[in-house]
Parts: sequence; structure tokens; C-alpha cells
Amino acid sequence: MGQSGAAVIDGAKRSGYSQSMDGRTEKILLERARGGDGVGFEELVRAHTAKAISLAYRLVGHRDEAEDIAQEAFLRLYRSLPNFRGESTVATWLYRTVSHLAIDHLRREQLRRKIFFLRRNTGDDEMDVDPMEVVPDPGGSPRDLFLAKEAGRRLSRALDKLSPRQRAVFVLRHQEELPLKEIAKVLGLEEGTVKVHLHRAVSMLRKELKDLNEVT
Amino acid sequence: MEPCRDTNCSGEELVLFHYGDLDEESRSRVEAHLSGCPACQAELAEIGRMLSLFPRNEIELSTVEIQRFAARVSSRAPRRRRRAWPALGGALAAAAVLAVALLTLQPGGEVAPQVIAHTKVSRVADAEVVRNLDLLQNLDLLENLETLQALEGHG
Repeated sequence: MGQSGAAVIDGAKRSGYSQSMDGRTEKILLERARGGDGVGFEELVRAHTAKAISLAYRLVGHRDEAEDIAQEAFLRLYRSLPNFRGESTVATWLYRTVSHLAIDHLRREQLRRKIFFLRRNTGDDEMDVDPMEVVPDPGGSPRDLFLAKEAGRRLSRALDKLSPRQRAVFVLRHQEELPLKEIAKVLGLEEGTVKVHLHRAVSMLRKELKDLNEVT
Repeated sequence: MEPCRDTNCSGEELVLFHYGDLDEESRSRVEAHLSGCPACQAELAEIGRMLSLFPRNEIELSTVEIQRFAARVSSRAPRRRRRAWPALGGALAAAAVLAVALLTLQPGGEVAPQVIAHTKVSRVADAEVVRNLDLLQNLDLLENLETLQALEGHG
């Protein structure tokens, strides 16, 4: 029933994230990177790559876009190095930045789709379908191929129906297993607002997947 | 099944109950309600079933993929100059060059013989540089090499 032992970002137990670097090593690498040591920065990136890409992928659902978002987050980290004084760990900082970048990306994507369908409905465009629906994800990993199957598509479409914030809250709670308090911190929201978003997200997903849920 | 009309058990609370996010008091209240409400039991089961459909969507990255990604990001990060002593070294070198220039220039504008001798020394040093180029390529010091050599030549 209830999921217990939710992971926290900086705690020993991290969902999908084996703590790849202790605090002391991270501080040394940060100091080296701050001093202009490219190798130090690269090591820092290597240690957090899997987590950053995985989080972005869960949030946006596409491998290439996830890599772009993770890359942008790391470049922002680099630019922020002079002001990075260790109030938060790199992991926490990346969590926050990747989440915000993903939300921005989803908002732009939703707007783009709205404009596309608006144009289609007013007859300004000759194409019949949303290219996002027909162009295969170039990622092509076995997992991507699995997701390309019908059930996966239904889940992706259901997630697409959520507002970017609802989706972020849902992914961070359901898939990243972060406690509500941590989600509130990451997204800069009140805990009560996070609860509302989570409930709305689950309600929307139930509505979208009603038939699928009845079959299973 | 008739939906539950009990105001003590909301849909939001059932979702939070599923995730184990209710405080102690609310959890006990919802548990007590659930034990006597088949509608909410069914609702909770349906929430659990629907949520179990969502995979974790984990991306498995190989070591090579991680290294490639890190190298790409690192190459796109604008290089930052090393701080502290190289900057100080640059300032000292500039001051030394200026001092040497003032000491060696003749009033008529001719270059003093000492400077010609120094140029020869520099060429010998350049040959050393070529031999150690691989080593020096990655050092930020390289850009200040001539001024450092000038400093070295003048003690």
C-alpha cells in the first residue's frame, strides 16, 4: 500500500542514484573546477551524468531531449561555480536545475503542440498529424523500443496531458521517490501545493487510463 | 459501487495514503475509515493498480556513454583562467619587461647590445620549448612564456 522509506536527495539512500562521490571528493573537485581545472569539472560531470540524464528522461520522456537538458544543467553549474559555496550539494543543485529546465521544456512543447493543432484546425497546414506522433524517437535503445509499443504510448500520452508542474511533481514522487518536502524544495513550492498537484496528476492519469486500468 | 460520501476521506488523502505521505493522525483516521468503506477500499486499489502501470523509465548508460557525455559538456564549457599566482606572475612579468626596456633603450632610440644577446638566449630557450612542447601545450603558463623567460634572463 503506502510506499515507505522514500529516498532523499542528499541522504544515504537515493532513488536510482548510487552515491558516486563523497562530500570531501566533491569539494576538492569543485575547488579544482573553480580554479579553472577542466579535468576536475569533467570528473564532476561524470559522477552526476547518469542521475541527471535519468531524471531529465523521466521528466520529458525523450532520450535526446533529456541529454540536452542535462547538458544545459551542467553548463549552468559551470557558470555558477564562482558562486557555488556548498550550501547545497551538486546533486541537489542539479536536481533543482534539471527539474526547472524540464518544466520549461515541457511548457514550450505544450505551447508548440497547441499552436500546431490550432494551425491544423484552421486549415493553415496541409499536414494531418502531429510530427511528434509519427517521428520515431531516434534513441532506439531497447527501453525506447519497448516504450514505443502501445501500452507505453498510452502512458506517455497520459503523462503529456498533465501540466508541466503536475508532471514534475508526479515524476519526482512516483518515480524518483522523493518525499513531498524535498519536492517542495526542488520546485520552490509550498508542500500543500505539491500535495494538490500530486492529487490532480493522479486523478488525470486515472481518467486517461481508465480503460487500461479496467483491462488489467 | 456507490461512491463514498464521507467527508473524512477525500481523494487527495487516498493518494497521499497510497504514497505513505499522511501524518500519523490523518493516517489513523483514513485507516479506520477504510476498514468500513468498500468504496474507498476499491478506490485505493484502483489507484494502486493504475500507478503500478508506470515503469521507472531508468536509462542505463554505459561507462563509454557517460565519458563521452562528460567530455562533450566539458568541451562546451568556456575555459576559465587559473587564478591567483599566474595573474600575479603576469603583472610582475609586465613590470619587469617595462623596467628592462627603460634600462636598455638608448636615448637615440637604438637597441642596446645586451638586448641582442638576450634574444640569442631566448632562441636557445625556444629550442628547449620545442622539445618540451607536448608538456607545455596544456599549461596556461605558455601564454606568459616569453615574459617569464625575460624575467629569468634578467634574474
